[in-house]
Amino acid sequence: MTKYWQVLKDLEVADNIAKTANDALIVISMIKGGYQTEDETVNRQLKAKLVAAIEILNKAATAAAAKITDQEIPLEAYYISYLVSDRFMVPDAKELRETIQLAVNELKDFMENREKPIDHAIKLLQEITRITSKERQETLIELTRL
Amino acid sequence: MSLIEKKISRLQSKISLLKSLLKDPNIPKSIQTGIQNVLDEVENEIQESKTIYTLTQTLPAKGWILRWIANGLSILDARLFRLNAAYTCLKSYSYQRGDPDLEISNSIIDQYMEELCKLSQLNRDEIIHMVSHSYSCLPLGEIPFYPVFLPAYDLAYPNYWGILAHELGHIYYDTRKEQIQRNLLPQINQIVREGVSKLVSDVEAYPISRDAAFTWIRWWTPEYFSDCFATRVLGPAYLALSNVELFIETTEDTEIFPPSHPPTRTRISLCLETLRKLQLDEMQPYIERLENEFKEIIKLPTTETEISRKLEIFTHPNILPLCFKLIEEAVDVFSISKLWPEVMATLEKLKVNGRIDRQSPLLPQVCAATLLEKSYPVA
Repeated sequence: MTKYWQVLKDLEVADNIAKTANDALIVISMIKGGYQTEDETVNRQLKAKLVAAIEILNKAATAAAAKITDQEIPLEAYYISYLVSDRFMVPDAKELRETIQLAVNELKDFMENREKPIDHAIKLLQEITRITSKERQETLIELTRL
Repeated sequence: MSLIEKKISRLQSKISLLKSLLKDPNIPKSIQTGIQNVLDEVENEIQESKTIYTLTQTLPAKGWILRWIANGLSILDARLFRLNAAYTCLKSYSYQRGDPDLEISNSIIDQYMEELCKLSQLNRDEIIHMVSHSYSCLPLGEIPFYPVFLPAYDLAYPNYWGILAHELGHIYYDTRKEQIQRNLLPQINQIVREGVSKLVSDVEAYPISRDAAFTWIRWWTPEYFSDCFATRVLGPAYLALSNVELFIETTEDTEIFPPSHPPTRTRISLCLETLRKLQLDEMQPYIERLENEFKEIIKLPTTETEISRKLEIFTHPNILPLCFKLIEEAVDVFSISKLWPEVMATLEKLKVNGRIDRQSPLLPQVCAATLLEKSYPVA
């Protein structure tokens, strides 16, 4: 009788993941677009958004690794893994972990040097926002049906 | 004004409106403050998007940035959607609180909820009850309150309020979600994935074990948990009334996959198992009677479909008892066994007085009335 419960919970988790990925994409686009400032406060804020994205990706990598070794998975990581792996259609956990790791490394390098390539990270973050946006749309449709 | 600026302005006006509408004396102050905090947070994030938009105005190529800013605003809009849902709930609540027709029943249900919350150590200030179309609970995520609904036709029938205990079970689950996510769900995930993988072919192992684990974690565990909670708090009374309200209406032959609720027979099994573990000799006649009543339902054959085949696998004897054991251990709530002598004493009083007495605790009386299968007026 409480189907709303999980539906709304999922919406919240999906939104948080999407916002983090989306914020990182904004920062990457700004830097690649030539944005520069001497204002340390702004720079710190922008950097924090990339760090948050790395954290989210690391959680997904943890989930992928856990799938390989059959370890226990925390729920949030499980959900990210579900979104990124099962909806992204990369069922092979090893391949998924490598894809995520490559994106994390790119993000870290990019934080040090804006000239470094970041194409894989952008692609993965874009996929996360696309998948979570789809999830949100589906969840909202589901909510109206309840 | 650009489209982004228009969208920002629209979101800001939504927030202003929600803030102004919150000032309602019937809405508990703690809930108002909680929502206000979330609104402030969303407002800050919108302001941040506005700042980023301004910062990027001088850049030559900003197509992608604009796209991501717009996308970020849509995500914030989704949060406002939930706040708006909270607001509509609260306005209905405020209206119902002021309705003289509901005054008496509201105060009796308040007393009943108060007792349930106290026994199960739930924060009563975060829970409101309202009349709606059915029994349900709508947790609003980051918004710190839980509306619990009951149907209008049960306002005067305390015998059915036991279902509110199931709904409170969902709240209990939510308030312990960190512990549950850390301890219970990973174990269930592992048991289900391993159990299912052994039951199907190698080709099916990945997709079916993934579906099974997701169904258990997303849908079923909170339901089993809430059933276990309600059984511990109400004893056989929960199963007795659930017989009528909760279980009979749930058919085994579902067309929806994954089903939001576990198969009826498995829910009954868990409730009976929980009852047995309360280890009260006096309860034995009730348990035996319930077991006999449900025997026929449990034996009902299911229609053979692809979904029913999956459900058979998800609830295989290699999986179900292990998960039940974990769930039962996780529900560390007060047990009716402590109140059982009072329930037994109340049975006799009810038969003599023919009414539920508001001056005495309601919970044992409602349990007793349910077991007597008779409706008594509250006076």
